[in-house]
Amino acid sequence: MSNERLPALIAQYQTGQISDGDFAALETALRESQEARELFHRVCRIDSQLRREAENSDGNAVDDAGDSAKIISPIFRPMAWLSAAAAVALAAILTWSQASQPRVIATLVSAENAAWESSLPTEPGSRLTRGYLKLQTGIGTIRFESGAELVLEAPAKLMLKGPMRAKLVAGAAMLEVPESAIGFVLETPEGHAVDFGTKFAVDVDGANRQSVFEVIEGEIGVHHSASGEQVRLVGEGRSATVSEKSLVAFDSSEHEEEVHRPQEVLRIGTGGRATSIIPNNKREKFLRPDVLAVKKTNSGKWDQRSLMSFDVSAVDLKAVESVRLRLNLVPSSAGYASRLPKINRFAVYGFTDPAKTNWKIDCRWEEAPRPEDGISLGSFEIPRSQERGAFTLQTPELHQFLKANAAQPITLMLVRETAQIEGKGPGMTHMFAADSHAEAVGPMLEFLLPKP
Amino acid sequence: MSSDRPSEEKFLRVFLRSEDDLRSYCRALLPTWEAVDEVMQEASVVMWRKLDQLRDESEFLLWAKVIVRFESLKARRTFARDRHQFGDDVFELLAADEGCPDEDELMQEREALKGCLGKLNGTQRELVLTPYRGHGAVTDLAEDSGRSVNSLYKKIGRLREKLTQCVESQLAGAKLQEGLS
Repeated sequence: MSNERLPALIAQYQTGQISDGDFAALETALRESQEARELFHRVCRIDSQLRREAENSDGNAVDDAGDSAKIISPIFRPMAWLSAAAAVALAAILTWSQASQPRVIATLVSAENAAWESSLPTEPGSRLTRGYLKLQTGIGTIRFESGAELVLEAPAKLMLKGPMRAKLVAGAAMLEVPESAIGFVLETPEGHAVDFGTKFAVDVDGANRQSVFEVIEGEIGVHHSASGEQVRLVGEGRSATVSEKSLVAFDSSEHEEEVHRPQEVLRIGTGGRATSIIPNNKREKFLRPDVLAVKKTNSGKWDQRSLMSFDVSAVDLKAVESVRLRLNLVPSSAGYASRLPKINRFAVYGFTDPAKTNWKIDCRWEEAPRPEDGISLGSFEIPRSQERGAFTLQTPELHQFLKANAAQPITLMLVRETAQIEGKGPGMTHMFAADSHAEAVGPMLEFLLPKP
Repeated sequence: MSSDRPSEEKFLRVFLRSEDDLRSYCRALLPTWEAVDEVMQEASVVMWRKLDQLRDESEFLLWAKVIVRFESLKARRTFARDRHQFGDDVFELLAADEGCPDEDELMQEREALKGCLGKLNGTQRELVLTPYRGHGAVTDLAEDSGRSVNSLYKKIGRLREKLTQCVESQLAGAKLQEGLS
């Protein structure tokens, strides 16, 4: 048998999908060739690492059964024969070091006359992992680790996907999102909404195969799965109905009657104009388009920096009270966090010189602006243990810089100032969501306007 | 039980360092992850009990592989006959694990996989990970997405194949670069 078929055969064997004939062919190849056996061992290591990856990740992108509770590390059970004290110590250390227990992503805060049907625990105070919650009667409140709070009204079926993501399969819910959870995504069968802060309601109408999103306060983005179309809904009473075929937005608000309004925040994104750079310019191999990567090494050879472009010409900067840059950290897919210092410092530089700001998305390292040519706008820190979260930079320098240069396109550069610990094995590359990231929103400048 | 503490710590230290390698080794010997989990449980208990026999910590992995091989052999006898299971000769060949890469090469391999996973889009990555998310995860996904279980497995198989090829070519590329520099 030619070795080209081997990867396919091994894949079918490992997923339990192999036919009798192919199994015989695989067995023969393994019997006859050491090369085949070495490849087989390699694919087993890959299988093992993928499984580890699955245990450690939320699995945010699509649905699944959510019964990851079954993948508890196999080592816990055999230890029953140990003395109780030793077993507790062992279990504690194993939990700590392996992190292979399902991650807690939310807490069930309260239940009012609620009857549940669920694979997850349903007592108030229960820690919830990935999985489905079915609420038969009553009202249940769930607080996500990100700070987002969801009130679920029966009959409803909700799938918890991660600290920043859930899917309402059926029923009605109200979602409140504090600043820490901006970018929270609530999916429905027809589409999804990204919350840009504060409160919205959603109703999934199974019979008519449509979902209705309504802003109670603040701002959301509603996306239509089928067409990829999206709308931004700002302010009370704005709503959108998403069906399999269409996305329709309504405005039922009476803005004149509004008495209380929260402080207004104006957000500007990069509109896709953000990219990462690396000295060897091998984008395909080392850079992902959906994240902004930053890394620093002592040699400089494997450094990565990120560029973002913003057009703030539409903002009346004189009226702005303050401004901040918001970046969403997402889990890294490269390198080891243990090879970084405990605290990592990141710096942001600003550029306005047209020669520096008209870089291309696939720009080469040597064509990109350099930090030393820009204006230092401040820095922020992230512990190496942190995998995700929103980080903001709010400095007088940033405000001043934008005020002085509002009329022209501006470029911000993000670099990591702290290097990795050198030695064998790469240190972690920090990754922040770009606009195309599946889970988190891309970089944004947020302008706080005074209350009207 | 204070007398237990030194060996408990020692066991944890050496076991955790090698756990991934042992799991992968065990995976090569057995047809399913369920079987691997059961055997790894049994084997870890045996290792714990017999830890006194291990003279040098640096020999742990080799010593532990012998235990995993033996426990896998025992488990094979309990499997149903209709399951796809390699013959004894192939089992022994795989258990011999010739040409096992050294620590450096393993590290490169892990990095290569991370890079290759990074090239998949979110949906593809999640699809590849779905079979590990418990019984019926693929079936549930099929139900939710309105596709057939069969077609999902086909897709997963193709993605896994792609990942393997990607890892292979990355490593070949890295070797080439080393040779050139």
